[in-house]
Order: sequence, then structure tokens, then C-alpha cells
Amino acid sequence: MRQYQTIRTISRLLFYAILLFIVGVFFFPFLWVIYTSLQSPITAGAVPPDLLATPTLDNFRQVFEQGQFFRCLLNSTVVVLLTLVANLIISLPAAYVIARNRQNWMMFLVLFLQMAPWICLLLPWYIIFKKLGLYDTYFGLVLSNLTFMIPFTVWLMLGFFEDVPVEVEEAAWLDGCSHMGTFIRIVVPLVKGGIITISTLGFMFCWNIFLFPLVLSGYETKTLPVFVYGFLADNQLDFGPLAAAALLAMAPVIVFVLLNQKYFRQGIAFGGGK
Amino acid sequence: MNDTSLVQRTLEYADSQIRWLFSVPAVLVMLGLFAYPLFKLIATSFTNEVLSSGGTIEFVGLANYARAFFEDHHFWRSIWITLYFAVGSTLGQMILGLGLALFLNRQFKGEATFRMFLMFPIIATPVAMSLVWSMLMNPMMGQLNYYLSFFGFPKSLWTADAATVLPSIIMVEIWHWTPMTMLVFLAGLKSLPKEPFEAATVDGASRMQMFTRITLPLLQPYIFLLLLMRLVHGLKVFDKIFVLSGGGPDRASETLNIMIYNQAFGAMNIGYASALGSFLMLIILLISFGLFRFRQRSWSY
Repeated sequence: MRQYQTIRTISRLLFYAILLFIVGVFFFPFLWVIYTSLQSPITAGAVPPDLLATPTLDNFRQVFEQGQFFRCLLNSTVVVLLTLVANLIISLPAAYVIARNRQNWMMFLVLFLQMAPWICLLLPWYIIFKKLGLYDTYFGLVLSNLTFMIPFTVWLMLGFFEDVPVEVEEAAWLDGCSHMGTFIRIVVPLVKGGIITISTLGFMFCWNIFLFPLVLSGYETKTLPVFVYGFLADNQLDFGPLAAAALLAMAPVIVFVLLNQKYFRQGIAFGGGK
Repeated sequence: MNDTSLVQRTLEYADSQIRWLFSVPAVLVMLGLFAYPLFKLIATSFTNEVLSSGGTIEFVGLANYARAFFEDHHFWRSIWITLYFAVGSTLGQMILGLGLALFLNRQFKGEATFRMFLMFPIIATPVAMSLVWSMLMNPMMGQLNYYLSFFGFPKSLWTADAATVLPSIIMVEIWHWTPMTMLVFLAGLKSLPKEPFEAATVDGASRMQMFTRITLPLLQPYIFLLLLMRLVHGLKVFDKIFVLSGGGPDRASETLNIMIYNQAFGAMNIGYASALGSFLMLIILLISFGLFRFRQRSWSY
């Protein structure tokens, strides 16, 4: 009996050791970037790392002072929020209609749209946006983000809308509610979970997107990922400030998603990579 | 005189037609952002358009395609690099993700905390994380070699060597997305019915047999969905390669995506880039179509 318990304890210890190793592999770069962002120029690139070095906040000051960090932070925030609002206004009704009419070819179309390589769309967009004056505007960036947000939202919301019983709507119509009113007052509140899921994942996608703003934004609307890339070009081997810039660029999205963890996991388990 | 009633009647009529009116904004936006640009992409691929002021745009027929197929030595190489990257990273994520999911498919203390840590790679801004990896992999000052030496790995030049650049970026891609495939597989494993496993245990099936005969077939829908999504995603990867190597050294990591970007916004040859883009579009269409056909044929569960 005692022998059996020892084996159980050992196997449990082994399990947690492996677990710790897995966490280490996936979380290690984050520890490293936090550590490096607090190092002075001398200790930042030291091999092996000097774990006793005095931390400094100089790197963050350098990021704040160099370039347009705050401007880019504002740009990123504005573009993300505008995209999320526009996406809900456009996609929710469309998803509702498709869910109620159950047209399979439409779902395949939605799926295909998600697959189109972005660079292929960017080439014509660049020409068209320049011609229409959309280059380097918030409106242009929001439009570009909508190309992946709309198919993804429709795809994910279909299930939520299908779960809303038609009887609920019919009851509202009988009480004299218009179709529009029924949708806004009855149906939309019932799919709130889906809306939060979409907005959480959407925040992540739109905050992280790099290729679209790289090409479509100029001096005025540069977003944080583009700022980080530019920062890399300016500070090639200066690890401290680079780590600080990387950390500052991803901190908002990490905090936001962790606050909405439950919904994020729902979306990911659904197959949520773009 | 009848203004208000006219407005009201119009509104009522619109309300009754809501079934299709509701989809109009989405359809319009998608037409504007997909349909017209795709037409424009193909149209541009037949011209010699360049991204600079001046110069006339001329119709050059299939010259851009001929240049890609017969003259540009990097074209076929970049297709090989693109496929190598997409297939390599997809297989890595699928196998590792499934393995981890099988290992973790049980209840244990600290499960929630563990999952939270695993979510970080998916959430973090890819450009920022690519920057972090590029610092870690730096051949002179990077610390990755140092940490790996504890596990007995030899020193590597990572992205600075044409021979290791692709595996290095694939490694980062696998690091980035394995948590996602793992979470999807885990959700799949948890939703499997218990009865087949109980029956198999009674019949004395080995663990390996249960895995290949029951778990894998039951997981097939998840495997298929992930395979399709990760493969198509792999063909589109841009950020990581752009930041980690920029396509080099010696163009050894220049996938079709990067090549198109460089041609369009580096060399300003948007006509030629559009021809390459049209071709990439065709590849992705064929692959997704092929996978759908394959699924319809082998769908038996």
C-alpha cells in the first residue's frame, strides 16, 4: 500500500515537472523581455545574463522620448475601437440574415473570404486607396481591418443566432414590434456572449495587425506594431530599449484579453485563428 | 400633405424586407474590399504599372507571367520555400498540439493558471514577439544559444545562416500557434463520447490501439478543420519572416508573400507583383478546394 502511494506521489511530481517545463518553453520569451527591458545598455546583451544587475527604467524613457510612441498608441486605440463598432453594425445583421435563411453557399463564401492572402488584396488597395484619398487615414485602416473582421464575425455569430428560438421573435412580432425593433431589442441582447467573444478576439486581431498599417498608414496614422518595427530599424543592437518597446506595444492587448479570458477561450476553441 | 404617411409606409416596407436589407451593408463592403480589388489585381497583372509618379501604364499581356515562370530564378524557389514553411509549421503545430492535448486531457490542480500562461503566445503582438525572438536568436548577443546549451544543443546561427533560417522561423511559428491547436484539440478530446473507450477497455485493447482506432477517427473533424486553417494561415505568414529575416540571408527565407511585398513596395514593380499575387491566390484556391473535396470523400463519421 505504501509503495503504491510513493509511486503515485512520484508520478504526480513528474507530471508537474513536465507541466513546468511546458510553461517554461512557452512563457520564457515573456520573462526575458521583461528582464531585458529593465537592463542598462551594458547588462542587456550580456551572455550569460547578469541576474544581479540593478534594474533601470531608462529604456522606457527612451521609448517615450524617441519617435511618436504616444501618437501611435492613440492611433492604434482609435482604429481598434472604430473597427469594433463598425464591425458590429455591419456584421451582426448580416450574420442574423444568413443564420435565419440557412444558405450553405454563403457560409462557404464566408470561409473562402477568410482564406484570401492579405498581400494580394493590399496591392490593389494601395492603388485604389491612394486614388480615393484613403491612404494614411483612420477610415482606410478601419476598412482594411473589416476585411477579416466581417467574415470572421459572420462565421462565429451564425451559431449564436441559430440558438435564438424563432418563437421568441414571433412573439415579439405579435405584440406589434417591428422586425428592426425585434432584432435590436430582443435578438441582440440574447447573443451578448457572442458579441463579447467577437469583440475580445477582434481587439486582439486589430491591435496586432501589422501588414495593413505597414502599407496603408503613413506619418499620420502609424499604429504601434509599425512603430515597433521602425524602432527596430533605428536601434539595431540596443536590446534594452527594443525590449521596452516590444513590451509596451503588447501590454495593452494582453491585459485586455486576460480580463476577458473566458470569452477569448471560447473563441479560440471555436477554431479562432484567422 | 401625405409626407408623413409616405415616410412611414417606406419604413414599414423596408422593415418587411429586412431579411435581405440586413445583409446589404456587409455585401457592399465585401464587394468593395474583395471583388473589385481582385478584379483590379488581375487587371494590373497584365500591365507594366510601377509605383512612382510619371510613366505610362501599358498593357503587356502575359509578359509578367512569362517573366515569373521562365526568367525569374527566385520564383520557383520561393514557391518551394512557401510550401516548406507552411507544411513544416502546420505539421509541427498539429503534432505538438495533439501530443500536449493528450498529455493534459485530465483534471489537475492549477489547470486554469496553466492555461492562462499558455495563452500568452497567441495574444501577444506578433511583430513585438518576432522582435523579441530576433534578439534572442542574435548570433552575437542573443541568449538563446546560452540557454539551449544547458540541454546539450550546439550553437546555431539561427536566422543569420541560409541553412537554418527557415527552420528557425518555423520554430517561432510553432511556438506561437501550438497553444491554439492544443486548446482546440483539448476541447475536442473533452467532447468525445466515453462509451467506445469503455468498450475497448473491456475488450482488452492497448492504449496505442485505442488511440489509432478510436481517438484519431473521432477527432477527425477537428484535425481536418485545424489542418485547413493552419495550412492556409501558413501560406499567408508575413510578420514573422519580415521582422526575423526580411527574406534573407541570400533570399533563403523569401516566401511568395515576402517576394510580392518586395517587388511591389521595394522595387515598385506592382504590375509584376500583381502577377505573382494572382498566382498565389490561385494556389490557395486550389488547396482549399482540394481539401474540401478530400473531406467530402473521406467523411464517414
